[in-house]
Amino acid sequence: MSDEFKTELLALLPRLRRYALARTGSIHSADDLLQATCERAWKCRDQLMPGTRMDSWMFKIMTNLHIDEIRAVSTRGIDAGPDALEQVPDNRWQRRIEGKLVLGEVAQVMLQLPEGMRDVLALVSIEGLSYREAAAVLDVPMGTVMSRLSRARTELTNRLKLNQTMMDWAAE
Amino acid sequence: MTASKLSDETLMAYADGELPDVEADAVTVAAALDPEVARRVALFKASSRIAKAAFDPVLGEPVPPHLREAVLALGTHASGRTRAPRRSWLDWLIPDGSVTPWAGVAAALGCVLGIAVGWQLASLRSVPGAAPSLAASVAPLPAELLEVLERQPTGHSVLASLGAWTVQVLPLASYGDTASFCREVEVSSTFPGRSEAVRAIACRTDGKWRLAAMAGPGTARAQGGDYQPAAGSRDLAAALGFGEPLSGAEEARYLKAAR
Repeated sequence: MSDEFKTELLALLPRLRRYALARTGSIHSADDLLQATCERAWKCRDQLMPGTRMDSWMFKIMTNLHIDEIRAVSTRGIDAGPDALEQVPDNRWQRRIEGKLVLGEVAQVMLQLPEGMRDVLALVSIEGLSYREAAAVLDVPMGTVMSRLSRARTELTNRLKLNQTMMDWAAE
Repeated sequence: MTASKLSDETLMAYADGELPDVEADAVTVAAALDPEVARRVALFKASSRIAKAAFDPVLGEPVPPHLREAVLALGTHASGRTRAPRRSWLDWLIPDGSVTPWAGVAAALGCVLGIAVGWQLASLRSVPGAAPSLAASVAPLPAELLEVLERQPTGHSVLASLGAWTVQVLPLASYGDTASFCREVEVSSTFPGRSEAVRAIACRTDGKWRLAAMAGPGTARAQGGDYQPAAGSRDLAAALGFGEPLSGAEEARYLKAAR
């Protein structure tokens, strides 16, 4: 059981890292969060019911851990708010599409979104969960997922000021 | 169905393929008749693709070896010791990163899947009554901190520079006896625009200093004024079962002479 658990966990690491990066905006924070999530998951592995999707389960643990962290920084006044954006530009994640948009901008906009909106964007748009699965991860009704997601995506497109080139690229 | 009646949620669900067939057919028709509907649907599709494209490159990156090793080490004695260094001034205090806020929380809480039951390392001041985290570290303490622990009387702080941070170590109290001499210090750090502090107790046994407990980071108290014992300062000592702090004269007997 525990070897199987670790094998599955190892296979999920790249995706968990992507979700952590989408949440934190910095690869270093993402890796810290990911490791803490793996440790928590290990302690909780008996609660992983057969048939439960391990990715959703891990997303849930990570989300809750990260919310803990956000609450903590808001009480100690560091790395929260606009300051956190300083960490975002990480050259490894800056890819240009058609020379028009630095994708780091997407990460910046995401970090400016309220937490709840960023959660659904990361889970549905980036990780490909269904609305229902995202609702289960976040413990909110599906309607909440939908309203947050539509606002998050409207914000994203508004703030990125998508031009026709971007639209064409995205529509391919 | 007219465009004005189609909500953002409906168009988004259509773009995501989450709309039931009957409704989806209606949107398909509406989009064919009304360019504005088609445009809104296209925007929803584009937003998801762009968000995904921004973060997909991470999937192609090799996972850092320390993370893979950490997973393989889960449940073994080496668990939690392979953590990557934190790029923060706290590295200075805990060089091997074995006590990070997250590690502390995970250790303190065991398996808790639900939303936060509190931040165990949170500021004692901003979270009244919060239990300090007891985080024993086997990491050697930094030389600068050892200097303070060995020589600096309570209430007399020492400043050190650490990159852009200025770190101040202030001894708050001393406890114990010759066998085990313990000191509580506040390590605060200021950076242009912000500051934070942790409170720690380190103990000297057989000549070696070890971190016995740590709480924070919390908001640093005003710098520069006279030393005022923080209201919560007894919490950490109490958690370790310490009694009254040593007097200045008692403390002096265990300190090395200042240089």
